[in-house]
Amino acid sequence: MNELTDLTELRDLFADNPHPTADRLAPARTALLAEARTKRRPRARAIGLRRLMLAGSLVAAMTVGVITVQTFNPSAPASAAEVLRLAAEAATATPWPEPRDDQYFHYEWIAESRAEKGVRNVGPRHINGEVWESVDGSRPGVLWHKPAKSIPRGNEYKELLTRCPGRAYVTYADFRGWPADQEQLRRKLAERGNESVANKDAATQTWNGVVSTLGTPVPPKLQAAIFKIAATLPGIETEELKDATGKSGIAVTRVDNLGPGGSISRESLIFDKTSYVLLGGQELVPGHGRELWSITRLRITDVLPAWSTSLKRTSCF
Amino acid sequence: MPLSTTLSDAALIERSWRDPEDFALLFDRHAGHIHRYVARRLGDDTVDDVVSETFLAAFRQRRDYDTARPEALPWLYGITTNFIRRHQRAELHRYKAYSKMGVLPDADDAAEQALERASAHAVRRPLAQALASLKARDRDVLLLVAWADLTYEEVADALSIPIGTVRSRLNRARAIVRNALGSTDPTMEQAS
Repeated sequence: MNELTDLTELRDLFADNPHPTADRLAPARTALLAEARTKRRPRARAIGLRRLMLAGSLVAAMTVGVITVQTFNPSAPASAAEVLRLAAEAATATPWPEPRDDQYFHYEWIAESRAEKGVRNVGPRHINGEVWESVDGSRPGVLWHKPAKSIPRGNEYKELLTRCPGRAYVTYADFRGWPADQEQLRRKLAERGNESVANKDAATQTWNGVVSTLGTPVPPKLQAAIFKIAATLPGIETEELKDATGKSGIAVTRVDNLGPGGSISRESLIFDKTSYVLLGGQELVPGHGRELWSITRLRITDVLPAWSTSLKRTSCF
Repeated sequence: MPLSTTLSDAALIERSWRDPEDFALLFDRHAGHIHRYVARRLGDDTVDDVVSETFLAAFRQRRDYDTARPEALPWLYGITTNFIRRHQRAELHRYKAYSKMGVLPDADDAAEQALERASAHAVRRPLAQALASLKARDRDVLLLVAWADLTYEEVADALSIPIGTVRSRLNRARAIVRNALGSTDPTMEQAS
């Protein structure tokens, strides 16, 4: 026997164990995520949810009910600044059913990440969820995580979401107190952007603050002011992109060097071509992959679903 | 922000300090390897719990991770090794049962058992017996090399022991394995 035979024989021993399926691993992954959710910082939520925005250019069909979108005349904007100006105009021009503090936002959100061919892939990550979120954060919310259509056997769970004690999560009600002054608001956005992308130039910090802030429900006036600030940033451009639901829109994209090894990264906000409602967003690193997110079916409601009273799973955020 | 699909393990762990849920991507990358390794050592009944405990422990220790090491798999194997030791009795029972019967105690299909028994190579039973007879720390090193495909340096990282200790433990374990297989030269060392 040569000196490697023992290792060769040993490597063959019990080697026919199959690689586990995603279903087999799902309970362990769920347990890990449940623990992770108890540790997340304010706003550091799942992809898509973190960037989820409440479109300001919406009209309420009724005080409590489905919110519908007002349509504007399409006219191809010449620049990214013009798209953002139109989005700001739509936000402030449209009646908005100001929610009471004791109500909930109810929406569906879809997010996924895709690697490009040849890039090491952790497996596309799909999030397909339904969320009820307290307007002032004083009440638990609900997350209903559903299997994505592309992963029909994916994991499904429902859980109550509470605010972790001592964590300064910014709610919709808190946003009502944000500065109306443009310079003060710009600084506020840059501070927020600096939390996720530190030590970058002011414009990059501000853009990241814009994207981060628009990932939570925002009052229409504030949203319009944010769009106006974004319109002044260098490096923005327009392009046509599809959101995570496959709907085509007009995007405002900012290019920076935040990709791996300082490579190019293109982060976009995607707007409806007609109404300029924000549909979702995308980050693309050419040659590596992309992350997409979208929101749909935004509503305001008085109560959580009846089945939520029987939920046993609870996470704080 | 960089895409999660393009980050090294170390960068992903670092990002999970800020966005804890990103740690699930580390699970997506490596849970299959850890699961298969644990299943080989402990069998089907225990593996799911050990994998879950491994990643929960790793998540809780994520701020202690040395981000100068881009690949996290050795670190995860080190953590899972600690959990495997808690089930040492079950592991030994598994090897001993195989050495006697030619079939694993958790093989639940009668036809498969019969096939396995028939095909159990004359070498495999003494191999399983040898594994059962090893000191736990020597078995950990041997199986991290043979089943997890870690290099000596990675085993040293995984178990937080000097690389010289990895060599000496491996030599000791391989000598016993070779002896069980009828080797005439159990002292040869594989080049690192």
